Amino acid sequence: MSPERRRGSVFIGAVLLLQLALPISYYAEGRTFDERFAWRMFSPVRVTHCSVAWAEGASRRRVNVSADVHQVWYSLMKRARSGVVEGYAKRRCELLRARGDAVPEVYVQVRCQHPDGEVRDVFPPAKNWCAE
Amino acid sequence: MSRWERFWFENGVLRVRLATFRVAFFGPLAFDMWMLMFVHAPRYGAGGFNVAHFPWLDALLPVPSAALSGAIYLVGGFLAFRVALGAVTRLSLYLLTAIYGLVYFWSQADSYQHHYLIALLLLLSCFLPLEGLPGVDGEPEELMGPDGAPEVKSWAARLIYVEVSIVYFFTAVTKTSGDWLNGWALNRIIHTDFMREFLSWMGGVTGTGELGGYAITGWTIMLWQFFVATAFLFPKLRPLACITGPMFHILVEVIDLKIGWFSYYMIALYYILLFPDRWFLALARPVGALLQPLRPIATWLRTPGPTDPTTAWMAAAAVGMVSGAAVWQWLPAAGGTSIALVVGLLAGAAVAPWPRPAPHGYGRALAQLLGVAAMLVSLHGSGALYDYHRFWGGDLKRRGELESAAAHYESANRLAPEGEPARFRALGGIYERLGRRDDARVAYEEAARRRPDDKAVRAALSRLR
Repeated sequence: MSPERRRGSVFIGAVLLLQLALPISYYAEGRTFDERFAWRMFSPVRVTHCSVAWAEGASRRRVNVSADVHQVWYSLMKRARSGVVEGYAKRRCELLRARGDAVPEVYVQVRCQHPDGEVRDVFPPAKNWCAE
Repeated sequence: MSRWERFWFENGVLRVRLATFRVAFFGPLAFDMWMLMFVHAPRYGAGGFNVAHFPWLDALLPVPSAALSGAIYLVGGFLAFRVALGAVTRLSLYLLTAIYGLVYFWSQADSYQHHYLIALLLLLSCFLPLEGLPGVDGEPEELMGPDGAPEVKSWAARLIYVEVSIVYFFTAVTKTSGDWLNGWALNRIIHTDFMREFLSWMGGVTGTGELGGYAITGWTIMLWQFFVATAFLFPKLRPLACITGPMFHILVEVIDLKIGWFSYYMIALYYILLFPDRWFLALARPVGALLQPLRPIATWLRTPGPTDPTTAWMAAAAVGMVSGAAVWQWLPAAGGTSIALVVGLLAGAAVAPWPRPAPHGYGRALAQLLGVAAMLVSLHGSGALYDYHRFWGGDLKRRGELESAAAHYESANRLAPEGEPARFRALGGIYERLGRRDDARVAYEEAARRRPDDKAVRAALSRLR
C-alpha cells in the first residue's frame, strides 16, 4: 500500500471508529437523556416531558433560570441534559461563594414523566450540588 | 490488492456527481448559515454562560460571544458560497470546516443533530477531489477527466456513503424501542391535524386500536431506515432508496417537525449519492444543454485577470474594498466592522496575484461580489436580521438588561418587514420601565398604528396620557 493510501486508511479507520464508538457509548453508558452524537432522531426520549426547579440557600429560595441565562439552556435542562445541569449548578455555586456564602447550597429537581407513565427524578433532589 | 484497499481506494465517483454535490450542498449551506443559523447567534454566551459539547473545550476556550458566533456564520456562509461556485474552493473549504466545527462544538446551545452531520460532511469534503470541476476555477470540459473518464477515484466519497449509512443505522436502532414501535412516541411528535386524522383512520381500518396507525407507521419507518442504511452501501438497492427517501423527508416536512433545513439536505444527498449513474447522467445532459447559452459568459469569466502585477493588485484592492464597504454599510449586526474587514480581506485575497496570478481573475472577482450581494440580500430579504435583533432583545429583556434590550428592539423595528407588528409594544414597555415616558408613548403610538385592535397598547397609551 502506498504511503498516501496508508495515511488515508488511518483517517478512515479513525472516522469509522469514532462514528461507531460514539453511538455505542450512549447505550453502553446508559446516558438516556444525553443523546448527542448517537443519531437518535425523533427518539422517545426526545418527547419525554420534564419539569425543572432550581433552589438555593438554606431557605431554598427559587432560582429564575430564564432571568439569568438564555432560554435555550432552560430548554436543555428540561431535556435533562446532565452537562448543562452540572454547568449551571457550578455557576450558581460560584455566584453564592462570590456573594460571601461560606456554605453554599444549590438544589435542582428535574422530574420527568416517562413513557410508562411513571414520574421520576433524574437527579437526587436532596443533593447539594455545591457540596462536591 | 486487499479488499480494504479495493473498497476504499478503487472507488470511482462521477465527476458530475461531485460537481452537483459542490453546488447543491454548499449553496444551500451558505443560505442556511445566513438565514437560519445566524439568527440564533445571540444565544451564544448570553449571561456569560456556556457549556461546550466536550468538557475539555470549556477548559480551553472562553465563553463564546454573540458577535463572534454571528461573524462565523456570516463569513462561513460567504466561504460556502465560494465553494458552491468553485472559486478558491480548497482554501475556502478548509476555513469553513474549521470555523463551522469551532462554533458547533463550542456550545451545546446548538444541539441540532443535522448541524453535527454538516460538520462531519464538511470534514470529509476536505478530502474530495473538488478541484478542476466546472465552476469559476474549473473548465467546462472537465466533467470528463483529463483521461476522458467520467469518474474519479475518491475514498472520501466512499466514506460519505458509509457515514450516511451509519447515521441511518443508528437512527433505525433508536426506533427498535417499545415506545416507538407501539406508536407512543409518534403520537407525541405528530401535531398536524390531517396526519393525526389519517393515522387514527388507519388504526380504525386495520382494527389495531387508537394507537394502531401510529404503531404501523413506527414499524414501517424503523424497517425502512434499516433498508436505507443498507442501500447506501449496496448499489443494487439504491434505485428503491432514492425514490422512497425523498418521499419520507417530504413527509417529515409536511408534518412540520421544525428541524430547519434537515429534510432539504437529506433530499439533496439522496439525489447526489443514490441516483444510479445512468439516471444521473441522463438528467445531467439536459441541464448541460440548458446552460449552453451561458457558455460565452462562462468563457469570458475564465479569461485570466490582469497580468500586470500593479493592475492586478489594484483590482484585488478594489474587489476587497467594494466587498468590505458593502458589508460595512448594509450589515447592522454586532461586530459588523470586523465582519466587513474579514470579508473584504477574503474577497481581495481571492483575486490578488499572490503567490501567483489568480486563475480566471474576472470570474473570481465576480464570485466575491456575488457572494457579498447574496449574503446581504438574503439577510435583509428573509427577515433574518430582524429576527436576530428581536431574539436578542427578547433575551436581554428577560434577563433585565433593559438598555441593551431597547437598543436591539430599536434595530429590529428599523429592519422589520413591511406589515410586521414589529416590537413597538415591547419597546414601549421597556421605555416605561426605564422611565422614558415620551419614548414609550411614541413606541406605543406606532404599535397602535400597526395593530389598532391591540387592547394592551391602548391601555398603555391611556396610562401615559
